[in-house]
Amino acid sequence: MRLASAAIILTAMVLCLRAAAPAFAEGDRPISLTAIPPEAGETEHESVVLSAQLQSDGGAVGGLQVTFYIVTTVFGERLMKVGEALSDTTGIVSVVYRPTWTGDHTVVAQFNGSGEYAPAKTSFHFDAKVAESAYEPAEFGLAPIRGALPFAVGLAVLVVWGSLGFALVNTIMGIRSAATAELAPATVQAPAYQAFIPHHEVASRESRRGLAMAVAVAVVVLGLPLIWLTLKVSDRGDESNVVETVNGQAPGDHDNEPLATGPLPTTLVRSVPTVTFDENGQPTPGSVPIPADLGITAGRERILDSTGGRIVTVAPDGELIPIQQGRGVDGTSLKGSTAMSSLGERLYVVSASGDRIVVVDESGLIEGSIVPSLPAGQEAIVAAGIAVSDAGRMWLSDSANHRVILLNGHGEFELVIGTGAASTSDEGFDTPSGLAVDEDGNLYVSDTGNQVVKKYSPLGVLLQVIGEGWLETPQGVTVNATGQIFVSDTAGRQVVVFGPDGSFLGSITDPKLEEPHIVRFDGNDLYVLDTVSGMLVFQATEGAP
Amino acid sequence: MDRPLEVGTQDIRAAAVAPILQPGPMFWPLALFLSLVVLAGAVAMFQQLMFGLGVTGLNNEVSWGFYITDMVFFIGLSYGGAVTSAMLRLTNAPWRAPLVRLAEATALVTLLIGSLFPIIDLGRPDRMMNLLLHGQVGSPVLWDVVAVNTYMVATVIFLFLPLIPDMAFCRDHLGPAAGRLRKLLFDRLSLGWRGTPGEKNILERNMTLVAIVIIPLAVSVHSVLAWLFGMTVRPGWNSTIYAPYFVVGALFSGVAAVIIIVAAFRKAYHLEAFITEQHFKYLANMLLALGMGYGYFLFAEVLTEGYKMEGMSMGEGSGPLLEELMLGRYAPLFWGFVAGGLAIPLALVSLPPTRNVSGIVAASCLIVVAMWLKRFLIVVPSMATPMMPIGWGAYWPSRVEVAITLAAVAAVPLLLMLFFRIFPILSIYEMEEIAEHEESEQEPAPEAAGVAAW
Repeated sequence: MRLASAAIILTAMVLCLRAAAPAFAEGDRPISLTAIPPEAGETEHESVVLSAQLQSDGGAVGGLQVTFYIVTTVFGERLMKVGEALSDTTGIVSVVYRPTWTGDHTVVAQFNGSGEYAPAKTSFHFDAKVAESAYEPAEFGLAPIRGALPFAVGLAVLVVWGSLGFALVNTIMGIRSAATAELAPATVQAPAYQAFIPHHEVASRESRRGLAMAVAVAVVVLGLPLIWLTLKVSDRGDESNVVETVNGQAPGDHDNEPLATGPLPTTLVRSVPTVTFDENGQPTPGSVPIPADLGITAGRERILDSTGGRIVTVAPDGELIPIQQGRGVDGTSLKGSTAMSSLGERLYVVSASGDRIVVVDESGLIEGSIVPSLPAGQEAIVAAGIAVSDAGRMWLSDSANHRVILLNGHGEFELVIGTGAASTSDEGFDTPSGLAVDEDGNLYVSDTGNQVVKKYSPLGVLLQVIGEGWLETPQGVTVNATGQIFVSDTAGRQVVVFGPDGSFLGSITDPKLEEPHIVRFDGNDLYVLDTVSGMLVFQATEGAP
Repeated sequence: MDRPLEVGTQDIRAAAVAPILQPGPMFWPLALFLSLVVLAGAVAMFQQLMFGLGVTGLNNEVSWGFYITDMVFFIGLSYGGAVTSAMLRLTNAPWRAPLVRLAEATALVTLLIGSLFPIIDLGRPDRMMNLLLHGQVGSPVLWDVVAVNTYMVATVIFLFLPLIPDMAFCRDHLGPAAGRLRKLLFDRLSLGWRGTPGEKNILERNMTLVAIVIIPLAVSVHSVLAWLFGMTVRPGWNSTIYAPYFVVGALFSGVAAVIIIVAAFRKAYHLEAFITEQHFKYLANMLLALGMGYGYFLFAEVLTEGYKMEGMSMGEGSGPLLEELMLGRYAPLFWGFVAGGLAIPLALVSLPPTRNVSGIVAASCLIVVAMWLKRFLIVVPSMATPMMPIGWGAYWPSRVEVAITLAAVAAVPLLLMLFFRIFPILSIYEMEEIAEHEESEQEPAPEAAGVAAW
């Protein structure tokens, strides 16, 4: 009996399972799904065609549905469905995808099987060059109301804080004054007239004093930050305004501008030629025909001699003394190096091929090399400038590839600014050259081709575009302790100075400035490395900004 | 009608300071248990800080989950306490006196907890400063932070002002039993209060001022919170009534929370002589009015959206969303809210057989749980509605989120228990003032009596 029951239950289970099984099981005929990644040129558009081909037994299979996904990695890896389509007579199936971010994309194409064919899957990568934001900023109206609203709301908040401050301070002072008023005859020698003042009037006076204090406290504690915030953000407006107006003057406005545009009052206090010639007109041994860069460590000026592959220090009498001219223990050479930066006692020199950053100590000894590690798809660096932040992070400008790259202290890639091609847009560069980092870690890039200097936050966010209309060929850039920005304009034969807000302050001109290339600041001294005149040191005289 | 204040002054004072002097046998075991729950939440928080938001159930599609639900929920609870107290003070309702301290403390504690959740939800708390450094004055997020902080300061002042005379009482009467630290606190915070008419005048005036300020402030806090949703182009959030909808919802859940807290402390510290059934009935009336108001808003919202049943396109997927809510995967939660948060509780507080302390507290518990559920239903299904061709999003909270949420829930009674170990649980000053006022009104005026005799 038990056996029979068990048999019945088993049979029922088998029947249930069979009933629950899909009516159309997947077929087992093998089919291949071959990825057809987009060509490099095809990824430079807003839309990219994702394709794959279905084949079986060497022949194309049409009329089957394939689904395409993009792998996303936000909050863990998952598949984002792009779309699905049927294969045509050639077995090819394609969908159109509009990338919403640039860079590497992994595409998964999946055929889920049919009554005849087994499932198949393939994946491929492509590098999106252009991305369109998934969200477009709405175009707002009511500009006057929207402009005034934050101030109105801020005022309301201020009133609330004032009321709360008043209630608190008035209570505290009122209670204390009430106690004092009652104690006054016994403990305080009060003026005679005070005896006729009722207690509530004393309290009332204290209340008024309390009100004044409360308002003052509310204004200081809340009002000023709020006003600052409101003004700051209102000034910012939308991002396009930032770029166009932060200069203090609109581009071209200075043509009719009566502000100080003339030479700044400075004095050339030192001039050290980096090249001397013998009687035959040939550079003497020890000369630096092409001074590539300048750094100051341990209070001494160091000049990078690109052609000689060495670093020279400038003695007080102007003599150029080599401190590094050989190879490091790992065979590192400085020959052809074009960019150098200093941090503390160390100099960071980018090798000619951009494959390493050589670290040289104050005595000229090569301490080691940092090998930049770039993600796949990024071209090798052709460095035109380097700036090292206090945290040891290295910014490199790559003039050939029109980009600026940030590496951490170990040379690991952190971010890139610029699309890799010359660009006149705010997001890109046209031949970036000199770099500087200010005390806050902000980066200044001399965008030579676009004739401006761009300021970025330490995270690479564009903050300001400086010098529009004022610069001809900006090369070097440096920032002093007060945030003033100095830009060497090689073709303009001058150093142009901008205020911390990007406003034009004036220019430094001198007959010795023939091809000013590099600018550096040390204390109150402005160092200019001029390809023709050598190292020049300027100091501000009275009346300078 | 009960006469809740027909008790001796000594009784009021003794009952108010009893938790300070003698916390009761269950205090420490309960505090330990709640502390362990909070500690578990702290460990979960640490885990999240170490490994990032990946330890949560948040994902590409549903990036707001338990944390944002908790934020709206707890700030809503605080709203009920503060506004109830302020409204009762402004309308000079004499029955408010034994409730206001509990209501105001609940407001502060829930606000403190609720305001932590946006920071927890950030995943990177250090980025909170970016709101100030890179804030946009056109964004409701910035104003939400301003509003919540302003409201928090107002709540602290609102709680502090009536505490001044009570702390003076503790300073003068508790003696060494208060302990050195508490005595120092009473001494400093009582500001030298001696109970003179001048002091009372100033205090009353400023308490009224803060009560006036705190009501629009609380309305603004929850309105801005509602606009965080209402100004986002998403199915379900595209609504013009979100601000008042949120305000009424916050009041509804807040009053329910006050009822639960009041009932718990009444039971634990034997305050039945001061907080009578009549108090609960008054609060139940508020609950009833607010519940019907919230039901009306819900109906208006669902009817308007359901009538149109907009299809799936950018920001207009309310049709599919409503289907999911009312018939789909969220239907049990939605109808659970309608039944457990509106129909049953409103019946409990309306029908005479259940219109008592037990029935009203049971209704409040249902409302609080259901209102959390409602906030979940506001946040998650809208996020899960696809805005891109990636199918419906799914969200299931991780253990980390559950632990942090439970810790927040446990922190409310824990902080209140600790608070009332330091400060009087009843507002002695207000109860005595109202009692004196009522007594003076009941006594016949001497001149009138003389005239009648003559």
